Amino acid sequence: MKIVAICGLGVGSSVIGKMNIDSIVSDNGFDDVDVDTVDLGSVSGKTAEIYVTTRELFDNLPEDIKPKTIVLTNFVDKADIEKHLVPKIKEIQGQ
Amino acid sequence: MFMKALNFIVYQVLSNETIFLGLVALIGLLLQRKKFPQVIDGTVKTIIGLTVLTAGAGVLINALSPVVNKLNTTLHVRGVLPTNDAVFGVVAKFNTIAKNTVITFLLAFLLHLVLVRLTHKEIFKNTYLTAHLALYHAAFMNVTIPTVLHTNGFWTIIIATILNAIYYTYSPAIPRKLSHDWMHDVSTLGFMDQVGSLLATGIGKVFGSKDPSQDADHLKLPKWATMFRDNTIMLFFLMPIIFIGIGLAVGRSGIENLIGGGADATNWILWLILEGFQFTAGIVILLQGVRMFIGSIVPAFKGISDKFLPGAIPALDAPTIFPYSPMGGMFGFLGSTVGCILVTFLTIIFHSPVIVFPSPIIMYFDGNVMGIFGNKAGGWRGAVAAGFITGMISSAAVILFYPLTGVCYGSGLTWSNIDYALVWMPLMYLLKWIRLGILALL
Repeated sequence: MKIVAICGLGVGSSVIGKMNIDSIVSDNGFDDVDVDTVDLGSVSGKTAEIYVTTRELFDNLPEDIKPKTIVLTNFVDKADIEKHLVPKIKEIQGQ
Repeated sequence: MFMKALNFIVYQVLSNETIFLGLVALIGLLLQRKKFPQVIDGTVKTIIGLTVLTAGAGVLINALSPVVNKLNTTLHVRGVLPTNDAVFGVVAKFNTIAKNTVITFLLAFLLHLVLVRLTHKEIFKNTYLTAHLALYHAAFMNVTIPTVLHTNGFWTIIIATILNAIYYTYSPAIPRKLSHDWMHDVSTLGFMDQVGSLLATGIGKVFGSKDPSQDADHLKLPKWATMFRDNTIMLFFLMPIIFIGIGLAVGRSGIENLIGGGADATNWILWLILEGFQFTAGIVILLQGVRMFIGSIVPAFKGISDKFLPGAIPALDAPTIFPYSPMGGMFGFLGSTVGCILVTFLTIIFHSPVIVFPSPIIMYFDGNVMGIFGNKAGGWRGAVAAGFITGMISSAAVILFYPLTGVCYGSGLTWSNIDYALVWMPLMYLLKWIRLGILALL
């Protein structure tokens, strides 16, 4: 499964998001989860099962991406990411 | 035979910044006990990422150099576009300076960890994790210090390491203190705007109002304004304007001279627009490269910091604070855009020896950060004023520090944040005067 964290340039806050997601994934023992980062402009070319971004960027996402997107207040709050992300991963992995 | 092999390793392999940073990633990943496929992934992405970055830099420099050179020779000025990512591409082309930059970057991070470890004050317990800016800034130090102090590579690295480590350790305390009520010490700002955040707060207080109804985040902005959050879209519109601006200053015949003759030669305005697109494409490629290696370097830094500095909060890249006041950021961006463009006009009108073009980094990233602090201190008017004034200061300061940037002086590119105006430019002049003072005494 692929998870992509989106920020304006894909080099700053989304990298922090990626690290938190990586550690949530390993804490929860999910297998086969690959986490990547991307800039807002390149989202369409990046296929994934789950997208993660912050609320001020959500409106700018392509329409077909929006239903697959988790909207966070920020990429720093690991507990908040975990609360939204874990159910979604379980749903997709069919557990 | 042994000496030959050693020489080969030291002077050929390790002195190549691409391989060197690849090794750093490799060691970092091994220290974190990552699994074998992850170690390979991170190491390969670092090496290829840096190579992609250099290739992207080539594309944007090829687009910018001819027109800026033409402008410089036609008008006897120095035209410059402040863009951190792009100017790092220029530095990366100089092998020795690039290698010294990577060494400075690593030593400064390690010394920073030691300084944080030694401090007892809670407010200074921050780890600066914005690795790409730390790398760009290490490059700044490695081109300016030899210019102002006439130091060799060794002493440049020593001085740059100490100054950078001090900055990474103590500056994030400023935004941490200012943002305590709304960021709650979850993280702080680790950009090149930390001293600037204090100025933005002051400007917000003077020009704005604390009245909650003035808070920018209670206002709605037209939908079109938010599309500039996409970096590619912003550059797509901005760069052709800058290129046409340069083209108009050079004049039609000068530009047609660059394009070359022939009946089917591209129209000069269209050519300038296409050059603007090429510059944008160069930035997109370059950032793709940064994205590839930053994903390996930052986790390595974080892993080391978590082990060595329990309890420290991360000092992070500018966009991590954008969610705390998206509209304040937008107003700051608009204010800064006006401020930067105004400086461009003023440098042309008053025949400044350096013409500063509007920097996408100053307008967007600094503009947002300044707007957020301005808004928190004084609502939307505070945000606009903070963006406008700091945009002007950041742009104008380039006139003073661009001539100090050694091999980058004349490249048409330079560094681009408010703290270059408030911290590094004054500091470099101070170092220069100290050296001249000592020489005069001797």
